[in-house]
Amino acid sequence: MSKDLSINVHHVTRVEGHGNIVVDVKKGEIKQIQWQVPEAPRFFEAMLRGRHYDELRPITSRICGICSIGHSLASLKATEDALDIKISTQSQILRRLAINGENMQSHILHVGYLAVPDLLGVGSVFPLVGSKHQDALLKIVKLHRISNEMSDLICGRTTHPIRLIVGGFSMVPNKKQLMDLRKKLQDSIKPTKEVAEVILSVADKIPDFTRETEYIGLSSNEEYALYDGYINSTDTGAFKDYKNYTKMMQEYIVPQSTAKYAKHARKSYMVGALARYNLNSKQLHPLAQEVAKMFEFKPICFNPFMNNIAQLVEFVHNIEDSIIQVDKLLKKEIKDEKPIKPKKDSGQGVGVVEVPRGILVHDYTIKNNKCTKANCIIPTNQNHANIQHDMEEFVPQILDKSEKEIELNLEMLVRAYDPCISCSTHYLKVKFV
Amino acid sequence: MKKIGIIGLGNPLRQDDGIGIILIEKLTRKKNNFAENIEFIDGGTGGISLIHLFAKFDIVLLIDAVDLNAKPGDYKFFKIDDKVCSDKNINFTTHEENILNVLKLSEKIDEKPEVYMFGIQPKTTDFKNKLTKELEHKTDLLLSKLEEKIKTFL
Repeated sequence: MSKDLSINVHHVTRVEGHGNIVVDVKKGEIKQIQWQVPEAPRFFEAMLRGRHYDELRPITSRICGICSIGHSLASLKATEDALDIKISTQSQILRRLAINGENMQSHILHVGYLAVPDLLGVGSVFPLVGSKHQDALLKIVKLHRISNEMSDLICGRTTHPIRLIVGGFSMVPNKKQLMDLRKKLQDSIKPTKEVAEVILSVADKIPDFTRETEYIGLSSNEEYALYDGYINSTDTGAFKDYKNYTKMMQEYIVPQSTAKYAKHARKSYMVGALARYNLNSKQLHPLAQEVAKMFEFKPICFNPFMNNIAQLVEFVHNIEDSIIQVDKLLKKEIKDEKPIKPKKDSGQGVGVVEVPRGILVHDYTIKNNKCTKANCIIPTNQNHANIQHDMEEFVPQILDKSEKEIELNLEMLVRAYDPCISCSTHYLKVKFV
Repeated sequence: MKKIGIIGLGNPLRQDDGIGIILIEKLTRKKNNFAENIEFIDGGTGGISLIHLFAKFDIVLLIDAVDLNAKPGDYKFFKIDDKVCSDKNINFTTHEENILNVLKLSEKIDEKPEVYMFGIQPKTTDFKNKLTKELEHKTDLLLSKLEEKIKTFL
């Protein structure tokens, strides 16, 4: 084939932040394939230095407008680990509800508003108004709303929580609010299944592309791990020494990206809903298992485009799990609890949680109640190298398609990872020579 | 009693694009001067999430930078409907999703409020975290005009 191709998508739309796709093919020979991240670094770790431990959570929440609950929880877990704080059972249940709420908000937004238009052949959700898929769109909007309302109730805001504090919660929902929430969650199961049916009807549009890679995420013996667990890999298995997380997440820098790349057992790995599904699918609740079955979705699945379906499956799981967590709170009668105080004023702590886009780590060193050192490992950072290597393998397979189709397929690939690019741009050491 | 939402939109890191946010902050500080059925909201850069905000109100007033083809700091108060927003100029605010699309969606779910716009002509929306001098000088005037509109019209 002697095809010439020049793709320069600057920037990819329907993702959070700015990323570019560059493909250069001359006479059928691939000269360049690059996933570029041009956003400015944000220096959050440096901002934390010198701050009181109470301030770390509200500052790091602002790393992301989508994963603000996840960053808050990773931050609290790191702070509580450093200062030897054990939170109550009630707080642990509420935090599980918070993480479910965020996963639901983020997944329905991504699957419903950002990824589904590709499968339905439109440029955004708005052309769906007045189309035969309008009903599905309206259901997606309502499901997004219940997800927002749940986050609002548990965290005090839909985004950038205020009730999540070191040692517990500043305010908790009352019995009536929890009962109302339970009803809304129960009522959202049917429309979710209906949305899943619509996505299934266009699932043949999901590109059939596989590339073997490593998947890393949290696992737990008790549950489908989101809030708590040990680090796990499909290649190397359980890694329980969480404080040495850098052995699993080896970050490095590349010239075309202001975000760091990461690798472990291979040249790249993937984190996020698909990684969690591949590691822990047996622990999903029954309805989520049912939805996975509808799509004949089985682990280990090496198709990155199936991350969208993993998100849909997790959305169902989060609804089911939230009902279980609400029932636990109702059974024991929810009460106002004072936050647990630290047992010491100095220490080093690591908090690891699963957020919508994958495993997230915050690592703080605290001296005399003030942060002296911080490190945050962001999920999208861990996916950039995998996106790059997927592109390198995917492009030769689709070279016979038109330039427009290749461009769309590559954009769909990036969108499947649901990247949160602004969060991943990080601190780079620059050495001038 | 009708529920009224006053929503400031904009990005204060992009110079005059932040005028909606600056005005809503000033109005929020004065909220005790207004009736209880009026809520003041910092809507950030808006987008599709506005649909959930719209659902809460009967009447909404958006405050935002709008290209009015006028002098920087000039303002216009108008109702957002199909008459002012033909398909050719639907992207009249600077934010992600155009407001007409969000309104169409609201209408389909039977949640569409009456929506008005207090649009202000920006000089520039380049990256910088402060207003241009032209808009900074007019902020107090714009605030008093807005207060007047809210009290008399809504």
